[in-house]
Amino acid sequence: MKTLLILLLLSSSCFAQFEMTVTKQPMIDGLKNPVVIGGRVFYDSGTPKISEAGKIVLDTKLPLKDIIVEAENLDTEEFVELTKPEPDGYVWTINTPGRFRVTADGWSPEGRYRKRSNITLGGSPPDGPGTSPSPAFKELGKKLTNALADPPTTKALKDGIAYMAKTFTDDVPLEKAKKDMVTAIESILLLRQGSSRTKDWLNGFRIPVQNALLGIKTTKEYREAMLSLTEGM
Amino acid sequence: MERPIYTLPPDLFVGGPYALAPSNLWHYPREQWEAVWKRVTGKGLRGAILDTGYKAHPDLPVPIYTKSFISGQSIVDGNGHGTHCSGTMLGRNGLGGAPEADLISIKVLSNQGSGGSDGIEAGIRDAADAGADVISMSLGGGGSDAGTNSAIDYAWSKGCYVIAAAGNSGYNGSNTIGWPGRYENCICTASYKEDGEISNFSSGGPQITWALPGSNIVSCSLTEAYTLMSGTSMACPGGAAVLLLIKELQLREGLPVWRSASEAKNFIKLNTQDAGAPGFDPRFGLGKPLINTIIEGLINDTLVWS
Repeated sequence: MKTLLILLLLSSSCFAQFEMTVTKQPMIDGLKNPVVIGGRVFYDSGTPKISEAGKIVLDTKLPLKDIIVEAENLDTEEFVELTKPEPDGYVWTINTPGRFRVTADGWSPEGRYRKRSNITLGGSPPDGPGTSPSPAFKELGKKLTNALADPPTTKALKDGIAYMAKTFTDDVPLEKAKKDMVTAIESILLLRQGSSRTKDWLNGFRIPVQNALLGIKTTKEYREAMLSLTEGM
Repeated sequence: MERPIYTLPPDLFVGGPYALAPSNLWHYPREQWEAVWKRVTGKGLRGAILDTGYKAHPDLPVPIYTKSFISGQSIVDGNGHGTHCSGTMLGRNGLGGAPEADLISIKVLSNQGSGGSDGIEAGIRDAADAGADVISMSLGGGGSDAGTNSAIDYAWSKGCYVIAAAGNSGYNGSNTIGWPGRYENCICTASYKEDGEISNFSSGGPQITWALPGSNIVSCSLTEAYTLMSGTSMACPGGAAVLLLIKELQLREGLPVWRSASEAKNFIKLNTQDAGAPGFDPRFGLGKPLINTIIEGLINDTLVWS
């Protein structure tokens, strides 16, 4: 499992990616100033909840053999049933109102794993502006990686941390999430080459981030903090 | 001015060939080292043996890079010394200390056991350019060579750690360390025995960095079996294995790699068990590396790096 995880991380940049988008009617039109950051849709507070059935459209130019799409209601933390009008299509319909976190995993006909996409639909981000740790972590990521001045490792860590963080659903124990993240980070740091090997990522990144994470109590907070961190990198 | 010839130290062939290696080698106690290998194995790193070449063996990986700097002789080891050293550094099945490291094999000594310093200089540069993380040289001679020393500096500048055997001239109070082990930018390795005492043959002097097991070392033979040899030549690849593991940890943790032997020696000074006379002494140097302490320290972030 660990080997598979590392392989996935190492080759993640080689994966053909597909974008998951939402049909403009009716959902996106209802959002104020929507912006997609790290695969997640953020928008101004005050956006009305989705009150009518919506659609999820996977925009892929590659044929995918198996696709799993799931939508979790953010308020009830329950997965809702989706319908698929066309068996071979890339459209799924959400039949209930609410705010949802949608994930999609796909495999190519050759069996290669395609990168997961993860977006949130409906409502404002869980923690509103000013109360979320996100801006602080984003700023921290930016400050630390600018000081280290190591673009290749920064890019690899940004991709790896974001990828790993997105696999942490709320039911993953926080300690397990942290352990898996450390394994992922160390696997990436091991691959440093050339001048990247002269940089002190332990004292210049890992320890400051670890200190900043001390107040994190839940997997959800941890995931969001790490994703925000990568946004600044 | 004629450049010096470097040779194999007069290592002692103790016994063999044996069809099977003992399941528990004294220099890699199974229980202790399996705990180490749960954390680090040298995976992803490249260890270079500059010696008499390489001969295929069930417990050795196929080298990722080979080159011979001996005119008229291929990389194939016709001596056995290079193959034995390769096994001690990264042999599989418990023979080597860094069992998942990749092997770079460069022939700088002939099958008869000698080589010009021009070839050794070129071999060091070639190994560093091939991405070696550690260069192990179980060889030596009586004279300093500016070209070889310069190549060692070049390797360190690329973050490649360079270790050499002290020599097998014993010690009687005067410096008996050979070159390039005596060069200040080299990690110079002495040998100790199973009882923890210094090997009688182990050279001594102020340049000794540390001591590793070098007496009665079982490793790969030319006949796909195993032989028992003694010498600082056997201690050197053991030290190279420890350096590979430390470097893997440095990279995984995110630390910068060392750029000179003095940086490595600062670390070694803080993470060795004193042996021989208290403090530095000309036979054990800074002492014996405490591999379990090093690993444990890293796991718990209590390791002292400088």
